[in-house]
Amino acid sequence: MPTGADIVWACLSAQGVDTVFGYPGGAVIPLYDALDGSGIRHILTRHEQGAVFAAEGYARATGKTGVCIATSGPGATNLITGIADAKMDSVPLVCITGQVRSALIGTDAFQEIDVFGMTLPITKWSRIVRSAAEIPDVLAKAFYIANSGRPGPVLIDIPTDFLKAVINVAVPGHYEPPPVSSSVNSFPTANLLSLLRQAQRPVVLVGAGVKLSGATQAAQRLLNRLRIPAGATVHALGVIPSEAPYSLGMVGMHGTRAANMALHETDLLVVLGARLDDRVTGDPSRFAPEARIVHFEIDPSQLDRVRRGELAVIGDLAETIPQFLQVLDGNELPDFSAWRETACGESRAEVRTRGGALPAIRFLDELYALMPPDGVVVADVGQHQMWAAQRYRAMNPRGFLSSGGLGSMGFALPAALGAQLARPEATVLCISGDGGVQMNIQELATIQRFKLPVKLLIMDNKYLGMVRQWQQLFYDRNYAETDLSDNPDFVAIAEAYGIKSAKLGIDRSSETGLPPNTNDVMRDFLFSPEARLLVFECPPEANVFPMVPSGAALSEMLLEEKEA
Amino acid sequence: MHRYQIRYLNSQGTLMRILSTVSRRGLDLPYVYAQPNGGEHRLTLYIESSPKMIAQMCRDWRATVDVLEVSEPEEVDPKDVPEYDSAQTVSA
Repeated sequence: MPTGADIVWACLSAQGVDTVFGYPGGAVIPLYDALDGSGIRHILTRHEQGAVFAAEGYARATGKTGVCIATSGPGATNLITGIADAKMDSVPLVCITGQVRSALIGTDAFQEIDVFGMTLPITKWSRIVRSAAEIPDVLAKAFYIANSGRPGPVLIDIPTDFLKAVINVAVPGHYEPPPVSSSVNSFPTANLLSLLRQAQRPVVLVGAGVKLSGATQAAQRLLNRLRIPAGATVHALGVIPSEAPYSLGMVGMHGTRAANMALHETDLLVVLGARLDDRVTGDPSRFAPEARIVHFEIDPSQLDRVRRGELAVIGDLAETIPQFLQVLDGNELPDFSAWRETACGESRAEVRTRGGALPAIRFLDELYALMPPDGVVVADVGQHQMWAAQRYRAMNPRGFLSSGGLGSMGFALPAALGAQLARPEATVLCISGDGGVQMNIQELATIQRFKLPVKLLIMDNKYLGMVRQWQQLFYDRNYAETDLSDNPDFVAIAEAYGIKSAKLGIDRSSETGLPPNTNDVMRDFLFSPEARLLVFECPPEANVFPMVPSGAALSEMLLEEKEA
Repeated sequence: MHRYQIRYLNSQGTLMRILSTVSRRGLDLPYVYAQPNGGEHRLTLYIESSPKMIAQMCRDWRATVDVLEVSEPEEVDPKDVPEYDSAQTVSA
């Protein structure tokens, strides 16, 4: 007779799960005891936060639900940042935590913590399992909820005695979702056409919802049909062809001048699956001040959050964008070419060089030029993240992964190993800063154990660079506690894990600021069949521009730093 | 002051998710009353909040798993917030 633990593995397998990320501990020993023979690959990370970020990387790279496992108490609390990260960025996760024996719950037993209560606001759904018999149905509901509608994390907390219990129960379990009303008959054709025909300066804003719905190609057809200026959020990079005449590039705090100016001037903003958070809007009260907003969105809770919209189209973008296209068939729209040329033209390009950041930007441009088009870039959080996003040009909607909403430093390295496991054939480039990489650097051991050919680039400026930039610009250069000039030798660290490493610095005698052997070093780094580390020593006080200061309108972006 | 009525399935944590939608905004909960109603539960809340927060909370509640219906909030005079009534508690 199987145990509850056997049932868990059987249910995961029935859901199509082939890989899980985790870290064993007392309450989940029964689960690990039953792992062998389950047919599921377990990836032992070196910290539970590494496990949940790796599961995120796996999910973000594929759209499949990521699964992670942790024990009770500290194992469970170590998942919390990753769960919150997945909630903010709509990443489907099923997190399984062990719990103390059911009879001990509520007694402050060893390694007991109320992870269910702690994660209520950051999970889409959660459940403390109350008997071994309910495990199949609970897991069936968990997987459905995690990857339906707006995806998100769910947490299943299983007391250890239910994992050990011998049980005879049918697998897989069953979950009958409540009926959902279809949006097919309610598409606001007349209103949408009317708004488009009245518009003089329309703009499309593409968000992550497009790729989450699998609607990238439909969105590209729509943009090609509309041919009105279109910008993308950081999570929608790779959806809009960068060379398209209507492409504005990335919007938001470190977006392009063209994108932010267009958003400020537009009189009709068509939002496709973006939640309009403050990093996109700048000061919400001055965001797109003249625009009427049409919001295509699967999650009604995201509507009217910062600005009241004129028209909401609720539903899966995989359905509503094709409906939009049907509306356009046989219906003429005004000629927006003059506006398009204004918004996307040369006059809106960044006109000045970026001072100290130029070597970093040129370095990334050269590295990206070598990346296969189906490669995956996983960026951590900070200046390097924004440079990496600004320079990303590939047409690959799941090719640029980063922690956007929560902004979790330490995300990239474990997420990259998750992405590499999901896409073993792909080149996975992890771009981290010297601050963030030290938050989960222990995952080099995981990378090495599983011989994952992750390419880790550390852009080392010996500062917590983005915080330092704010300190420089808005706090009179008071660099309080952002100095990392005593960083360890990253090359030696990686070598200790058995990972070959190299280092490049700035060459001030070179026109590009890069040493003459840069391309050779990059090729050796990127095309190695093994994991590699490359440390690029950036100018310490290079800044990311354009920049919309916190609380400013998008039109008030800074294009360059003022001379000291 | 506004009165909200929410129908929900009394699954684990659903009530707490509804309430944390309020508490995360730093709002007080002067009155909370939940009672069974057939196979589901009904919750009555009185909350002092801005129109923007009212709209945000209603959207968040509607997006919560196992919340069935969120009625339109009704504006009420603060003096009309019900007092604690032990008899009502027992009879419910």
